[in-house]
Amino acid sequence: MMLVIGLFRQSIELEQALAELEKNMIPKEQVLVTFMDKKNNEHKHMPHPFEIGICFGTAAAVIGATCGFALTLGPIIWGLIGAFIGYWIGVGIYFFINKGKSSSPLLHEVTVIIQCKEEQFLHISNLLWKYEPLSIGHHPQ
Amino acid sequence: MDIQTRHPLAKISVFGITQLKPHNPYMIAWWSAVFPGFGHYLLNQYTRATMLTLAEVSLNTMAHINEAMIYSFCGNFERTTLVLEPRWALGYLTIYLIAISDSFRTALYQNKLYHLALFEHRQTPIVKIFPTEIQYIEIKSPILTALYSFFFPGLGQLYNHRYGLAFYAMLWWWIYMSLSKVHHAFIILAHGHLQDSISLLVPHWLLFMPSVMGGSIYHAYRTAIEHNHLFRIEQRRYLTKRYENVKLQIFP
Repeated sequence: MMLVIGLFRQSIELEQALAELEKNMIPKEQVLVTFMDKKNNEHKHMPHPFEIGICFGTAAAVIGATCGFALTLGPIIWGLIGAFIGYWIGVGIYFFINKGKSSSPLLHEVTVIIQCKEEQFLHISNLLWKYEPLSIGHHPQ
Repeated sequence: MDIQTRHPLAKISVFGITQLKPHNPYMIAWWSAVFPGFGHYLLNQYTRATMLTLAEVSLNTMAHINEAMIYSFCGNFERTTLVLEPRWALGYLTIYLIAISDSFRTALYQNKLYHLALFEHRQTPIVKIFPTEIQYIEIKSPILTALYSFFFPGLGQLYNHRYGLAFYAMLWWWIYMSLSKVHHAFIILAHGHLQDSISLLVPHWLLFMPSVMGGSIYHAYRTAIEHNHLFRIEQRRYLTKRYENVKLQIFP
């Protein structure tokens, strides 16, 4: 016997791969699907730096465009300058407040372990590779 | 017999995906302050949000809020007082502030509903086919949708399958562009005629544009993240259930 181990991201391709596996005579009792958690995998309320950037950028663009009517360069240029500066102030504030707190990216990985006969191995690994796995390993039993 | 879910997590309709999701209430209040209605769009209360945006544009126009903003930010307080229309300004202020606090309160309550819905959630259909539409939950790219809305507000919503809001936003962007003459001023500016470009602009309509663009980018970005979150919850529940009777032996 053989164990084939595939690592996937959560995606529609994962489901295509599993559906194909069942079609190709691997009963679902021989498939182990495990959703991998990270520490603090909970859906966080913490905003992404991009969100804070957009918030500040929007405010600064409005202020820039407003004041721009009284300034030499005019509202369009001051609006754009405001958006740019505001965005980076927002991102800066985010990193200032969250100093030292590093967050690893959430990959939402899924491990799929399949038990099959040795002669099926090549077929199954070819099948899995069609559906964008992160990596595939195997182990003879 | 199926017991009806008291707290459903999401619904797929012909208009797109409507879902309960965790909110940061301060973020919601902030977007309501940027443009009344935008907070409610983030809360997926699309009908009232649309009416609030219509109220904002018409009341702002009648009360001359944008012009007053320009004068007061430039330090010209006398003209601010002159330009404001008292008949509309006080009502505008009331609606503006209540819209902020209403969206904040709703965000707090929806967080509780989301908490319960997550416990109750069993299964959501992920594809629905209608005579005129196909709607489904898919993994989306938050950055790509933000970029779409940056190029033309509304396109990010189109990417997120919210075509009603998408075309509403695009229509308004065309209106803002033509009434503020920003596209014309931009071309003149690109040719180096700074003064001509400034005098061509219509301040009242120009001042809506940064808020609308920022709001559209943020809404598109956030919606893509929430769709991804819903996709993952649903997939995890479904596949965990489907493969629960596993008989494979790792150590035979």
